Amino acid sequence: MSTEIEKYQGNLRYAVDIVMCIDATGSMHPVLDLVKNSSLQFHQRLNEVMGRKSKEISQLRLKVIAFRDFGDDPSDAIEQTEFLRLPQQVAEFERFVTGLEAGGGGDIPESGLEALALAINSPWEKGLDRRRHVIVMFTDAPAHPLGTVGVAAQTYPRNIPRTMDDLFEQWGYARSQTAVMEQSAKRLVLFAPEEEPWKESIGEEWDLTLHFPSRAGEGLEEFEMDEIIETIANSL
Amino acid sequence: MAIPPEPARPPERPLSRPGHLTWSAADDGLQALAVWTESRPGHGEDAEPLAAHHRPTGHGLLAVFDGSGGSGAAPGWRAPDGTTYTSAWTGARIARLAAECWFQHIVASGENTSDGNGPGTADSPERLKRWLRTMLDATPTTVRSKITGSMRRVLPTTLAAIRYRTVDEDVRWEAVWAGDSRSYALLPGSGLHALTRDDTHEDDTLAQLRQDPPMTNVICADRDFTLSAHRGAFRAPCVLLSATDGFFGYVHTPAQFECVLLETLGQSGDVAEWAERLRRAIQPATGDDASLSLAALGFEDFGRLRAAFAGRYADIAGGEYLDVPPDDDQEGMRGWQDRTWQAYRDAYEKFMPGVGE
Repeated sequence: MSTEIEKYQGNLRYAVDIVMCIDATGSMHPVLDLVKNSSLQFHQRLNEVMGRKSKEISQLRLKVIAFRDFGDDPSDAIEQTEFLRLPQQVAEFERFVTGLEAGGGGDIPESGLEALALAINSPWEKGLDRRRHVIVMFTDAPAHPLGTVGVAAQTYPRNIPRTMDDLFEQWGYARSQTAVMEQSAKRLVLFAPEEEPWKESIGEEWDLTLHFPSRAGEGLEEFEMDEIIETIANSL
Repeated sequence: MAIPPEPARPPERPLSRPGHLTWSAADDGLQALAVWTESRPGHGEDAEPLAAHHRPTGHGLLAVFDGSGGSGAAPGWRAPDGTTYTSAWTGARIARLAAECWFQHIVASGENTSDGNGPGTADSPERLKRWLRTMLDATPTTVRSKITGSMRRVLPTTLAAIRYRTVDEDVRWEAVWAGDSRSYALLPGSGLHALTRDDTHEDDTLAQLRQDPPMTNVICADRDFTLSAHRGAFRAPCVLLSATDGFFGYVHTPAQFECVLLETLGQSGDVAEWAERLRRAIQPATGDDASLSLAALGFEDFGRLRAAFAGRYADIAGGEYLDVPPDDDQEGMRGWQDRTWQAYRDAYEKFMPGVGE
């Protein structure tokens, strides 16, 4: 009978886009090493965890946005890849990640909101069914308010919101007309300290958000990659 | 009568095979079954489905509960043997206990309220919500979680229930739900009709299948939640059922859930076999835990129940619903899904509550 019944089996697979926003300032040395060391296995491990949840991935694309501080050195405040399809473009993904070096940052707040704004405006997959668009933020620091630090720099992103309210409008909410991400697809996973803007302005106010608190200035070494992947898979 | 009458996990069940159980009962015009499967043995986040019927008063309750794994992935309860269960797993079991208590008090109250309950009556959804809130509030949190955020919930679960009462030839029902589990009526002449509307921002049932959208409302301990309700009456005989999305959320098109129900019914010799065939049909095809609770009311015996739906199955099997395009023909698949949904939709939504009702 099971062969007969297979005709009923619909789409069990998910098209997953993940944008990893990685704080690449000095204090983040441990998590950068973690991401570097795990980059080769990342897609395999995500597939394994999804498989345990009876979910398959039909297409996995990864994009990395490394950020530092426009107030410290605008020239290297943002480094990013395009969406890379895994496993086909894993070498390119690896090359970028292994080339990242933790350094700089200046004062305590970093340019995490600029990275988040770039992530929200990524060219997400529109064509396949059961889409999931996930932004993962790794940082151990609060963020400068948008549009206040380094705005005059040549490298400052031109087409991103200049206020927190405008960024919220782009993230969107139920039946929002201004959202740039699909409500049914989007998720935000924060590995960030319990400080602003991460804890309340975003973690509690933005929908479809999970927040793992880290301790400011102490990196993210307490998070194992297994836990991070498990969290991403659960958010799908 | 209440099924399952025993704890759902017999000690002899080997952990190496997928967990699944079925239950059934037949008694003088009532045939009931429940099916429960879990994709990870020992960790299924659907609670055991509930099917209860009180013969002297004609009251009955069908209910299913799907712990929400995404928002309730944090540890929720540590059992005495040291096993840790997720917040979603725990929430579904607590909701089941609350629903069972609600039904027992409906019967015990002796109120004849089936013609129009009010907020204070034993069978009202408000009273069920009070049971849920009381039990969720009383649940000790034995495991702390460091996860926060707007998506996180404590003890989150869906609930889809149909409380019904048989009065002469009438079956008066009220569907109560939170989340994306559903209740349905299966009628001999017209097939499957949804009685609930999912708590998601997407209202179209086919779009829900394609997108698997997030829920906008679930039962949970840490926030307020809504229990929606919708009522009506059918002439007996009829079939009522509640199911979690493991049953209806992994088919190609909404009509195929009815095909599964009727195909397995037509192949079965009694209600126990129907339950087992449903289980064997859904377990390899679904991508999730799955549970279903069903009562056939007013059919003299199983043979008459099966015969009553033979014509409907012939109609639906003769349609386009089983002509699934190949997997690699995405355009063909979408066109076929759109066509079959348009052909099926009006009847399917005939008894569905309106948007925002």
